[in-house]
Amino acid sequence: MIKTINILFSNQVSLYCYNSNNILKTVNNTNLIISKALLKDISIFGLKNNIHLNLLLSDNYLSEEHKSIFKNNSYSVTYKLAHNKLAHNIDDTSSILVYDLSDEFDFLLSKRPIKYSNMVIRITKNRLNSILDIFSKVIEIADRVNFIHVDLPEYTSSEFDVYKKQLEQISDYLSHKIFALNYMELNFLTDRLLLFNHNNCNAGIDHITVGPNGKCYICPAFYYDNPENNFGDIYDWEIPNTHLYEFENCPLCKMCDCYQCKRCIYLNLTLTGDVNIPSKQQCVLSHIERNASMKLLENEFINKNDFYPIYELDYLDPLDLIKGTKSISLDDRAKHVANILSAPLKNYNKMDIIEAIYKIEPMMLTKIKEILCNGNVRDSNGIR
Amino acid sequence: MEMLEIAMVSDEERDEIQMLFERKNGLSELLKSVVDMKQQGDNIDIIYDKLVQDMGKTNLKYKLWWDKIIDKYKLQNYKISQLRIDFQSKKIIPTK
Amino acid sequence: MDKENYLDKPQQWKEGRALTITFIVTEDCQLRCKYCYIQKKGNNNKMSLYIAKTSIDYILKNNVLFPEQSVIIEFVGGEPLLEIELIEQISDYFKTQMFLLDHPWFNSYRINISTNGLLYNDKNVQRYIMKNKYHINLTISLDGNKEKHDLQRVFPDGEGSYLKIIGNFILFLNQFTDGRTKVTVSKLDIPHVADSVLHLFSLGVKFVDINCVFEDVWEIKDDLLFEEQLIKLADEIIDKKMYINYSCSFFDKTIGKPMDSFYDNENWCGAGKMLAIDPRGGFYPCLRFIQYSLKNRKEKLIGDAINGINTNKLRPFKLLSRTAQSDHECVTCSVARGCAWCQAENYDCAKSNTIFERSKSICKMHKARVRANNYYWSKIGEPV
Repeated sequence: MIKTINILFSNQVSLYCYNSNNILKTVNNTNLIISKALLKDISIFGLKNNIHLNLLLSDNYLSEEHKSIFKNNSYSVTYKLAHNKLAHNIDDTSSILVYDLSDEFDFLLSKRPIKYSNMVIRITKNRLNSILDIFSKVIEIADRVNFIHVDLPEYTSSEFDVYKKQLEQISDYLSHKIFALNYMELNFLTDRLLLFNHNNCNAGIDHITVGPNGKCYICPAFYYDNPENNFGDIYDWEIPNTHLYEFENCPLCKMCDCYQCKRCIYLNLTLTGDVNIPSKQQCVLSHIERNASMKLLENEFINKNDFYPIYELDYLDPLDLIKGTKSISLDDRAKHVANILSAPLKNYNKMDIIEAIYKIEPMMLTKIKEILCNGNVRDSNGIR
Repeated sequence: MEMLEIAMVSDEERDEIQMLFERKNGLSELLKSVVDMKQQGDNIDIIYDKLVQDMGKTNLKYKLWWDKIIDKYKLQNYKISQLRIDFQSKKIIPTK
Repeated sequence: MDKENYLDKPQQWKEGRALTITFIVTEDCQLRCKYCYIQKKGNNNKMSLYIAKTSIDYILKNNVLFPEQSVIIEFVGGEPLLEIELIEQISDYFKTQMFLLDHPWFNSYRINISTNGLLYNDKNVQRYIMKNKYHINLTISLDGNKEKHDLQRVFPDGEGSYLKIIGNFILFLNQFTDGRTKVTVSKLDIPHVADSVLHLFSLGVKFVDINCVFEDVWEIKDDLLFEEQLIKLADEIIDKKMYINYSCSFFDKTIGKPMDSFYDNENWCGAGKMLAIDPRGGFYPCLRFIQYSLKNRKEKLIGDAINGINTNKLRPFKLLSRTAQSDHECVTCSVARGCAWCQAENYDCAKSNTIFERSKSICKMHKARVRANNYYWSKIGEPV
């Protein structure tokens, strides 16, 4: 169910997520700003359907007129700031700030006197080996830091090795300095410790995006990639095969415990051709981060018992379990996946779990008993 | 039709002879290709030498396998040319 | 009745575990078959030997991508025998390279050619067949009796091709006693199904491989007419005890049962487990994903001879399973087993750009087949 609509105020709002700067060319030739009439219609739509609005702006800060349009709505603001612009004029520290990592970034950070709640830093592959350096400065001004890898489709084992080492260094840095003092949220390191289920982007399921042309898109990347590739407008839209955007229809993600992974639909579609299948790069990145979180649990400053356990894996790509060098039988795979996915339930007793199963789906208990109690398993001819 | 079986070999023995049989046929068909390539002017000396050597070795291994089987299953009444194997059933069957 | 008393369907070579590499040597063909998946014919696109050799070199040097222990080298078109010299050159190169590289495939390969049969008695074709007698498998498309064959398999002027092919087909059966044909049933063919299978039996074809097309050509009552034909065929086969020496793929003891969602979840179609190479050197998961074979969607390239395979594009195919692409009705269908699909047809007809939506055009035809199949086996004395 759609709970949020992202509104791209203009086509000059540059990219703020997992999409490289190359795809801006098709839309940035002319200046297109969303009309006020459309904003009003979206506002009313949001009010009628209890939908939160996320306003995507660049340097044109939210005007008083805009604030008045949305005064009755639940809304938030995300600013994508150009590298040579300062963030001083943004009074609302609950806004999300998005930066492309650049050489001037250091300069900017030193100017900011107060802390933001949420910052997104877009990293290119040539800046991978300065993540620790950037991180050590960013944590002074933000409670939550997100690193987004815009060149992820181009990553090879070299980039992943660099990133892995940077994460190790960040873990060391944290254990000596911050963790003992402050609580921080890091999408690439601490999110995984607190999650017990997937916390994906959910574009197309929880949220959609309205472009400055008034058309609807799965997310802004689809607008930037090709404005013709929309699924209607705010008055009449339909996402074909909407079920394929849902987590339960992602055959690989369902067997993975990288709960912090964003399962970027845009990356899926551009790299593999299907919205529900992640690329190797996305899987490897998520597993490197997951493993770094796992290592962090071993840190002496952390009380392991405050967090859900994360088990060791011998692969970085879960597809290897099915079709790769580490492929295992169906039954062994089921055992392994059940083990890692049930890690957060380790400390619950059997009856609590059974009771929860019954409350969610009473017939599931019947099916479980059929398999375990009667030895009734279908053979390959479908015969009991 | 029911096959008159006079012995049944193990999986490993079947796999071994099947591979040798495939290789023998592959080599003899490759020889025809190599001859054609020579006629087209390709330089095939290296392939040809390797091929001839391999044919010798493979034929020898093939004969040795049958000798071993004849000995193991006490089929001394038969010559190699009078026996064949069904790869699916692993049965040794006399030819007509 | 004992199991030995009826001719079982032939086993697939290497139980279907061989890799199939399909060389589309030409898009040209002498015929204009009405049900052909190639949308436009008559162009002069043919594969160059350079493209074939480059592809072969790439494949033989990439054991990790192609770990199968056996290979089927397949030549298709258009009509492949139009390019018999090219086929011979490609085969010779493939064989010599396998030998020189000590590749395990040298001890385990087959050559498949699917032909319309018009050039079967050509002296160069015959020479090629004799040169590869042990390894070659040919399929000549004789589509049943003359009436049925000439409905669909026609020359550009509309004239049927049966009389031009039948002599070659008899020659083929004399040379290959287990010679097979591939018969396709479309809407107009239904009244001729029984007579066509019987006709092929009378020519000496022991096993008739026949299936309904997957395209959405079926209308109301087609399934009932089809069922009548299968019952007629069943009665003929059983009353004259033809089942001892002849078999038809429509009657299969294993079909028409439910399938377990966990243990019976393999994808029916082999797309993604094979490699098709088009005349320009494009790599495809199956030849049906080439642009000329698709009506609605863009072709699905997974790489090319120069750059190799893009493994991300293969990931969706590796994750395809029966349940991942089927709706609830299909997953829980009580006669699911034996219901087939064509992955490319699914993709071409899907509501969005995905391979994860199964076409249900064939549903009623499959159920009709199941009913006739049940009748057949019950009458034989071995109810399924």
